[in-house]
Amino acid sequence: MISRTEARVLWFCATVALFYLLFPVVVVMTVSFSSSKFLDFPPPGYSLQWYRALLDEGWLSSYWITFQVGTLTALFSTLVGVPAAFALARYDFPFRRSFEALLLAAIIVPPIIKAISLYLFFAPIGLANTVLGLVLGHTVTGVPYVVINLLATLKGYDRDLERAAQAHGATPLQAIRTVTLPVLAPSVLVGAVFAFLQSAQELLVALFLLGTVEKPLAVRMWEGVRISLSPTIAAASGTLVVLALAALAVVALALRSRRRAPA
Amino acid sequence: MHDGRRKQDATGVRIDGVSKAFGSRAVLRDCSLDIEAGTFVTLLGASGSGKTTLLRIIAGFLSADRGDILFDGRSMRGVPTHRRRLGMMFQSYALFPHMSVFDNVAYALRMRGDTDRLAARVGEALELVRLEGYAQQRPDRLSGGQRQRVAMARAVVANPPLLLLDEPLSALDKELREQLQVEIKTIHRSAGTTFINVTHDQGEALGMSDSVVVMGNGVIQQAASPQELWNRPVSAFVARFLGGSNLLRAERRGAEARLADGTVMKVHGPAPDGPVELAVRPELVTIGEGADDGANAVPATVRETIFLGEAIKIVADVAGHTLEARVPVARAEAARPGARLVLRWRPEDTLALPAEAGGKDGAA
Repeated sequence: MISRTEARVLWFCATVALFYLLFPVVVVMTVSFSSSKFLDFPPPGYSLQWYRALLDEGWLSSYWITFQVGTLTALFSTLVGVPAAFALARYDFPFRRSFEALLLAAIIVPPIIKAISLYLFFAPIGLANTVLGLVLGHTVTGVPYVVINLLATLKGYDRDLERAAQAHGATPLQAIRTVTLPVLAPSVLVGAVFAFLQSAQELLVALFLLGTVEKPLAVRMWEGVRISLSPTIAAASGTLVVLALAALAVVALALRSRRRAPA
Repeated sequence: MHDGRRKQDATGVRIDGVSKAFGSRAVLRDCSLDIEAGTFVTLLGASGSGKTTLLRIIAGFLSADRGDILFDGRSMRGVPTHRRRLGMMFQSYALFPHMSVFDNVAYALRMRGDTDRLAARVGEALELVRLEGYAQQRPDRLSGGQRQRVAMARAVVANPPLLLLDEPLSALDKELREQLQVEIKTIHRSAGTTFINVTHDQGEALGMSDSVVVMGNGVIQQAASPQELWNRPVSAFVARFLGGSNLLRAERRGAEARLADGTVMKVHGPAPDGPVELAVRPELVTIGEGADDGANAVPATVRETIFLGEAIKIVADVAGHTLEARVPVARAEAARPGARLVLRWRPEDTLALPAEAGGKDGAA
């Protein structure tokens, strides 16, 4: 048990930390409903004018590009990450640990270095300034999210489930399709959602690989901030916050169903 | 259930010179065994004895490095698990967590395309394990005993001629374990198919099986009926693993053996002359001077007595060994800690067994 004083101190620290983390979000969300033409805080009045402004063609095309890139990134990351996680969890091969470390490195490498090196690599082979190029770039960071999530589950996965399936008449492939994949699906989904989110909010790689021809959401926001400080940016941020909350809900639901499955 | 039809549909299993190594570690060494169709056989051994590996080779999850598995005389080399017509139970239950109890049991029928009267047969299987009302539950809502019953229903629903049990009871507490032992035995009797069980629990092996296969160090040490195993272990290893026997180191010469302190006693048993271990069951030891009836009699000092209800366990020092005796309460009045008395047992109850390398004295 903790004493009353300790409880108070903990409560105070938690509140400060939460305030520190959430205050900017609250400010941005508030400003996005502003009736003013500038980023005033607190706003003089409230309106939906800046959300209406997002309905213009440029912004809509940005949403569409970001959605495309994010979805394809999630898909590619899953296609590469799932087999990779299986290989890392189930087979022993030379440099297995190095591969695992290398995957983590893809998350830690500074984005600017990733952006420049990917640009130098993609430009000569015609992948720079294409949607596919950006998808591949984001997949580099997306794969580790899928692998890390699935690896944790796979290490605790009871191989007897597959054995039971085969003993009772399933071919090895049927066993994976009817038992292994459904049991692991929540973990795969969580990894895919993370891959999508990191793509949707990523700026530097997007700037280098696609920014000169198309404007993914992050790129358009960045340019908006540089040119005019209009509350449209706040409204766009607001939509991203809602997207993140929705993703969080998906993850929470998936994790709940995963917890129900005995490890 | 359909007794007559099923009795004929049991797999006879022959294990023919099977060896298996993982890397440089030999797990099974030239194991051969005949399992008669319709019998309940238990592979008994400590962890690392090779019992689970052997079961997995029978199931087809692993392949033997050398040797072969034959079902009804047919080589299983190249026959995948799903075509070996098995039922199987696991220590971890291995129920599919994303399926209802019904779907778990139905799985064994659906995967074989055997969906005739599906619901009725799943219902019968659940009835057999007394879980009629649970068809729509998820496995995670059930207790350990209920989960293992669902696994049992899944294992038997398709009437497989061979059932493999991979330590299915070892995750359960004592009471449930004993209850399920009875249920599994009953199901075996009514199904009439072949059951191969794996366990490290001596009581379970002796209690459930028609035949027990003691494994150690990747080798089949002895395969025999429970009674024969109990009364006539072929080696000190087997006697020690079954437990309960006193084991005394001695030097055999003909019908006599000499303990380390010079005590000489008359012995039976399979070991040749030379270093042996003498196995004496505690319940065959009696107290008292007695007449000169040819029994082995040794002076002993009582170290401790333990009341067991119907008997008293006496732990005594005998000729530098620790010896256990189990004596009816009425005949153990003289046994108090520190008391000196004479312990006796018959020569034919003194089994001279080949000594185990590095074997220890005393009760196993």
